[in-house]
Amino acid sequence: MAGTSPSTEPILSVRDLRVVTASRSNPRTVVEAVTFDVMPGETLCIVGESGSGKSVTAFSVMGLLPPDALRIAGGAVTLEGRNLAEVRYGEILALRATTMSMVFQEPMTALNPVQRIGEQIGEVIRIHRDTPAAERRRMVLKMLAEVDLPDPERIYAAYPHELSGGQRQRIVIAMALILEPKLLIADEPTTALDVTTQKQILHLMRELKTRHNTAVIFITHDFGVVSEIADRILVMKDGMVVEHGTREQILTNPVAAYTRKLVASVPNLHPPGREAARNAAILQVRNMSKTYGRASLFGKTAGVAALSAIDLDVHRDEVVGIVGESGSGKSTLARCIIGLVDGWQGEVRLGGEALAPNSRQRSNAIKQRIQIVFQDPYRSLNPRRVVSASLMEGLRNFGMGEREALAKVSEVLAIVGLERDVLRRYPHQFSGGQRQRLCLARAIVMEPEILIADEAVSALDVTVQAQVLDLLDDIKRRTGVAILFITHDLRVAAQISDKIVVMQKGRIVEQGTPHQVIGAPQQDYTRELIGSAPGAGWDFKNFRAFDTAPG
Amino acid sequence: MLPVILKRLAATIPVLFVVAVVIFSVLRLTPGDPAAIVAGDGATVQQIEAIRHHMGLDRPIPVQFVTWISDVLRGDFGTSLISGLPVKDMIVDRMGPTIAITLYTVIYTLLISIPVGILAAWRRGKAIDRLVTAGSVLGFSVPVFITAYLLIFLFSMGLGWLPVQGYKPLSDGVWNHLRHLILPVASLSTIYIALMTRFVRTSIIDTLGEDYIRTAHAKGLNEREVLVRHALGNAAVPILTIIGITVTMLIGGVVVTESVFNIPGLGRLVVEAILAKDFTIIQALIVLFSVVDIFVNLVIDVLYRVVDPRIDS
Amino acid sequence: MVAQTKLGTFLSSWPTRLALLMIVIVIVMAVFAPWLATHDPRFLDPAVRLRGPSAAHWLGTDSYGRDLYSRIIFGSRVSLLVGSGVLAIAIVFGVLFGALAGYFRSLDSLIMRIMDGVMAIPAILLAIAMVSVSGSSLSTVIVAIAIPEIPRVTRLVRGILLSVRGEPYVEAAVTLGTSPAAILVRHMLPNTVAPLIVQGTYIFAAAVLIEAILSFLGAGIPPEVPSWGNIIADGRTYFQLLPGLVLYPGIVLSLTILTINMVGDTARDALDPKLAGRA
Repeated sequence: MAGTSPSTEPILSVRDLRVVTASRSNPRTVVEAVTFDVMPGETLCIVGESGSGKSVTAFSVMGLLPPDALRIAGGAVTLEGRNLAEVRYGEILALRATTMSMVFQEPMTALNPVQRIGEQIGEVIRIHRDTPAAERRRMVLKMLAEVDLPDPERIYAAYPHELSGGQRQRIVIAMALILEPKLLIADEPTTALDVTTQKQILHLMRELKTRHNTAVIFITHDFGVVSEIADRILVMKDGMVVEHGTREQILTNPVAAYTRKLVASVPNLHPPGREAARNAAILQVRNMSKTYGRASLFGKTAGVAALSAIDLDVHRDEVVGIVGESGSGKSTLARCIIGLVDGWQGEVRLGGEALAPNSRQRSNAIKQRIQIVFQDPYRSLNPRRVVSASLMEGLRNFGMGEREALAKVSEVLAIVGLERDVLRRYPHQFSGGQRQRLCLARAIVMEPEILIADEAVSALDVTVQAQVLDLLDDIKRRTGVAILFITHDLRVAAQISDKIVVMQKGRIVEQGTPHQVIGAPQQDYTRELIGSAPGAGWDFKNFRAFDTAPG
Repeated sequence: MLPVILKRLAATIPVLFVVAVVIFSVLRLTPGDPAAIVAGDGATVQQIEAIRHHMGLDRPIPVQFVTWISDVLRGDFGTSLISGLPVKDMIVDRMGPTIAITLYTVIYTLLISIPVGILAAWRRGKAIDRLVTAGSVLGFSVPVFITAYLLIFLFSMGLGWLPVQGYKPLSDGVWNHLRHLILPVASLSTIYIALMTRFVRTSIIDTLGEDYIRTAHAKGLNEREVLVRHALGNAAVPILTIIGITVTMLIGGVVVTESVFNIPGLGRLVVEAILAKDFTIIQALIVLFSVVDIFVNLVIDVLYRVVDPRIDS
Repeated sequence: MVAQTKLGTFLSSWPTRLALLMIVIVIVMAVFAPWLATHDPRFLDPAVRLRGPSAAHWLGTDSYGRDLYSRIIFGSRVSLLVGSGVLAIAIVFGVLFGALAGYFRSLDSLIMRIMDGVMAIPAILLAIAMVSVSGSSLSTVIVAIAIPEIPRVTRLVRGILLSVRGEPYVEAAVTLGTSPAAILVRHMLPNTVAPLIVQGTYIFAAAVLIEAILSFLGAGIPPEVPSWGNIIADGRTYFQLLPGLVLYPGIVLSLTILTINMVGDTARDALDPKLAGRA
């Protein structure tokens, strides 16, 4: 196994860790009986869904639990043979960045916005070493070059807001590794990044780890990433360890039922066999362009092209997956089609009828035919309104009587797999997955011809995501609705789409069946996307590696 | 930086215009006849008419507005109805004490409220924080004139340390000057300190919740270094904002303070004008103070760019 | 259910309970003034001018021989009237302008420029000017205090509406064919209620304060009406002789403002955890 050193002494050993909420009267256990070791030079992945306690475990090791919210209530964290519970606070501070370091999830906010980069990285050296300023500067510039940042001198003098997310994450990594710590804890370090950037950062981390023989704890929810970097895997659920083993073991032969379900839910890049749509085109987009003008004192100045010359056909009974990274214009396209964004040029025809740019100018009959489900299930339902009111809102707007609307909504609830009694409840009483089902119900009760799913499964845990994807497929088969599925995740698109459209910088780069696009990509950018998809070599559902290329 | 300043300066024009319209409408369009009020109860219809003509109130409203605006732009605030002196001269005459009080109050307030606010934020939830929080609510709930009279009661009447009222310019000796301003500045700054402390505390607490503070902790910085090196710089923008917002409040406080302590500044000129029904002076002073407020906020706007590199120039 | 537990913590702290008690006392003072007062607050009795506290006059008498205690009791009526009046005007117009600015993009910059202008004028001076021109009366004072408060409410409402406008549930309503008015009323404005309750208490406290300042400066409620500001203004001349003339009404006034502010703070922390600890 690559990277595992034969040394027998672990860098870090955690025994029976227990973390509870800081409430004095009624503390709740958040993490319990967590035990693991990390050997020098190895990468341990801690995997789990939201609420599994994986990040809390990482923060416990660093001593960075928010003191007014969480505290360690039991167990031992031993770093290089020293029990951290018995070490003075000042010494813990001295261990940070020198022996153990941390990289966080959000590169956009992890850096001090009013301090120059060089100063922020140099500070790590300043507080732990007696290094003269000139030498510090030299070290920082060398580290900036080591994390592959172009023009270190310029970056040194830059402020965080002048850099991209990927660049900022490199800065955070540089900061964490500049004093060559033995242990690096990375908490979802690539989750907020685009896949192509993610691939680069993962590559960088692997390289630095090997070069400095650093042990890494990598916290993630994504088995695709795990399959690429883990030596060993710790699976967590509800604050407990579910399973612990080597990468091969967990991916090919998981024992615990939860692990099996978790791994099997991970979408892979190999599209299942699907027939191409044979129905007539229901939605036609012709030559659509959208420019965001920047208003200034002297009228509109040259703006940013969010969409240029988009041509797209969506057929009845078809799922069109629109894939792209942030800034590709995929969501803007969806929002222009449904009329939430106006001021675009070109033409959108729905069943032959040209649509007004703005939803407000469209008749109710048109509105009814296109519906949308958004990414964030927690903000998609009005928290102050009872579920039945939200679900019936569209039908009532179109003049349907209360009783009839209620009957229809109840029918649709059965399709999305919810009981009738949910109607009397409020959104906060539901989980993310259930809310997304409610949003789906609200959309399909309108009997639309086009359903837009704008990153509709992106915020969901992988097991829930798999269920909602199945549900979407089911809805399509039952109702014949055409689905415009917007996603940043090529793997998900590969699983659900009949046609994949790849977008970049406001343009359609390539489109075709999943087999065409993924199996025989014509464009460099598509190839890059495919190459960046984490875990492309794994057939998670069948617990084995693929022996063929996807497509 | 200069283009930024010019741009911001241009942006104040519509605000100034609105200010002018509002002040003009309040004084000319609200029910009540200034001419009749000036003339007094015993005046005949002819006398009121003469005063109205003299004040230009018999001309059409838009004409009055344009005349007034162009006079103000030329620095002509008119002649006091009561004293017959040019209002501009009266204002210049009375500016000294007001500038002194305001300046000392601002300096004193910042000296107290920033450290105390930081302390409270740092020790949030602890006894000292609760004391500061409670003290600040108390501080901005007690009206300026009540604080003033309490202080007079204690320090002037009780202990006899400080004068009850009056003002001495700097030319009468530094100590004599300051001695007369200690109580006024203390009274006026109570509310201001309370507000600022509360806001500094909140800004620092907000900042301490940011992700980059966690990064700073992960680097191995201790609490004090995190606060000084990472929280303070970032809290500067909201703190500047509140300084801008409280300018108008400070001006209101000056009026009251000067009245209580009988200080011959612009604030007391306002009160004298109220009693004498001298609208020309009231009008001129509102314009003046509004312009001061707009100008201070302009300076703050430029300062934002100094403390926060994200606000591009 | 959630709201109940919040209300529970709201009522559980003793400073809040004391504050609420003080507010109840002031309301009782205002409502039952004729029964609580020992004298007619306007009755002049030159025989007992400027007396200290006694059995007949619990807090003494002023320079006209009026009973200070009875005047303070009646003064609560003016403060509560001014507070409620200002609150009502500021909320009604603030919500109206805020809704127009936050929902109709075309009106936004016009309305907000006007509000910027109004906010640039020192509130007390604007009020002084209005009262001086229109003559002192309760309604003028209320309007004069309310006008500078309107922009604050407008900004608050507009800010909330702008941030809510992009919420997916609002966009979903658009695609479901809900009319603009219904979206505003059903999905957007309810978000302003909690912040308005908090802001409302601060406005009420500010109104009580500014009325007192205006009356104190001689630009407020007609001098013969017993308002706390007027009582203090009457007493200031004789402050060195009889400090109670200023201090007693001053303490009642300060306590009233303090307790309203305290309730505002507690309401803010309870209703919106995001705003907790904010100024």
